[in-house]
Amino acid sequence: MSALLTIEDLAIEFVTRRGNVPAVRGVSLHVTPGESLGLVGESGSGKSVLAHTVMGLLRLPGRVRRGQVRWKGEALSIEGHAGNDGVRGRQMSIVFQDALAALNPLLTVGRQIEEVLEQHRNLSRSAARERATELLTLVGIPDPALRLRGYPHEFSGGMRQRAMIAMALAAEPQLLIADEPTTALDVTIQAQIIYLLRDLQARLGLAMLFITHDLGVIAAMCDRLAVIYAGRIVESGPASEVFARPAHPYTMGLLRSTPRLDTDRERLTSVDGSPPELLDLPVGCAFALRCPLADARCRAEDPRLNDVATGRTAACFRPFTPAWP
Amino acid sequence: MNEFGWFFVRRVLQGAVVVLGVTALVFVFTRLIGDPVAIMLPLEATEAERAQLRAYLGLDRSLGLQFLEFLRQLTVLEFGDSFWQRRPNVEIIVERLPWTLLLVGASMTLAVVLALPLGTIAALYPGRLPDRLTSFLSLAGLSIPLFWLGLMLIFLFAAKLQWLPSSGPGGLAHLVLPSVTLALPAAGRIAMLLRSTLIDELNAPYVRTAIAKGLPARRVITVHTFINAAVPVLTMIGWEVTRALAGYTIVVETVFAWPGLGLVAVQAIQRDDLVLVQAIVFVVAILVVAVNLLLDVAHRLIDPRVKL
Repeated sequence: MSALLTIEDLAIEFVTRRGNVPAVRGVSLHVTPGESLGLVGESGSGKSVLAHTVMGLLRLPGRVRRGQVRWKGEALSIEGHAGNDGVRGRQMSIVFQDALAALNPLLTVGRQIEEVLEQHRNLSRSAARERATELLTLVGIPDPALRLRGYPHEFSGGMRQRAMIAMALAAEPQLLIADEPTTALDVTIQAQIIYLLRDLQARLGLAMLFITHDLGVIAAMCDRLAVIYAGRIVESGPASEVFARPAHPYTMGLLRSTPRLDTDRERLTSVDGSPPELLDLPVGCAFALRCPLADARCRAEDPRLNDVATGRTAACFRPFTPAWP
Repeated sequence: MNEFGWFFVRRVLQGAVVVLGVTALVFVFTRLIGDPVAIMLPLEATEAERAQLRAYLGLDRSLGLQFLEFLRQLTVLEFGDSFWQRRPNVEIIVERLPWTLLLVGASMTLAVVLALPLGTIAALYPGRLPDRLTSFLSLAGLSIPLFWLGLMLIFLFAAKLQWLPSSGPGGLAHLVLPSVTLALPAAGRIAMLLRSTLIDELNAPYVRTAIAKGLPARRVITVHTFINAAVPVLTMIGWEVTRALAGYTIVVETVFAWPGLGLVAVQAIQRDDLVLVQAIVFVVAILVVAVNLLLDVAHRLIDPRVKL
């Protein structure tokens, strides 16, 4: 099936006094209708910058170095005020991490949902109010008519994120980008939001780009998975296959540090070391410094992202080699 | 009564305390600066005549009694008679207050009309030409002394170009120069504040959300950021109104011979007309308290997070 969203060799840098920081270094991704792609990486890996750029939200000091973002094959503008192009906010929308900051504190939740309906669905004010009530019901907010008149600070964290989701769905988009939508929430609320998103995705036939640092969330949500490290995709493939048999040592390390119920493991471990300084990247593989398998070649040559199995890619000279005991 | 009603009542009571405090201070200080009897009577008046007038005016009683009597009169809106004009102070105030309100109203409206577009444009292009130009004009506007600005305007538009009358009361043409004099510095201050507030708001996460929703830039700015900038800017506008009522009008009305409360206050002070000064300060204090009350209410209406 042809892709809804295609990201081609996108590179983004941040202009700073110390030099240009390459936050994203040539990422290619695509999302097809109805599918859920998980993008996983640690803080600073470039995953949120990528999402913001796709939504036309990149601002100086951030700028695009090369590459393109396409919607159904057509290139989208990616710099300047690119929000109002009939695609952003209409055919694809985004749910942000911190709903309290992301919602306007001085407008009612209802108004913020209704303005999407008025803008993109051409609804009158009264029709928009009616539709907004339905949307709140859809995301599981009780007493929607009353809640529409409430302000964001009057909502609990979970309810606020639900309202944010309702707002993102108001234009009836085909693709929903979720940028760490559960990070700011309590664990029990996190699970509720994940189930809600999964349920909505199935019911509405939504495609989803799910950005997270939590592999457990990907396991619950996603068909496919891409792992991003230091601004570059290091592994991608069907989620179940990657979980069963990771190809890249970094993915193996991430899986090792994710708690699981179905296997006995003595203790939880983390991947030693920290991501490389983006201003001063090593010549070879960016992960070489933390990789138990790294040898002279890894330190001298940067591995390209190659096909390693059907539908799977990895940027490693020795894919599938167990890196940790 | 609901929460909002109690809030209102509380603020009115607080305002009453402020007015009472200001009145007491003025009452004491006006009695320190001069003896009205000495001014009202000719030099050759006898001591007996002076004592008689003092008794007639109630000035022979203790300060406390005088103050109580003063308060009693205020409660029935009885401000006493002016020594200087020899008629009830209420009459003078009713005659002069509308002129001051007209001047302050016109100048503050003009200030806001100037400041809103200037501040917004400056905020949208920070560091660029429109911003620099606006910042320069604002800085110039707020650093020029009022009396000098007024005199320069008179010099240019009344004396040289002869487009406008130089002073005195009258129609719209007479209102222009004094209003502009009052408005320019206020517009400068409001524009600078609006600029910095809007720059902060434009970088807020909720603005990013509004852009991501695919709203036109115009709507993002006018609906989403303006409402968030409204509280500090309204506070500033309120402050300008109170500063104008309680200070700047004195200068501007004097420069332009505008027959408002400010001018009559200066004249009353020159003539040691204590009772009239007291009455004017009382009325101005009430106006200032009323403006602040309005601001509080507006603040609460705009921002539902404000605790009452």
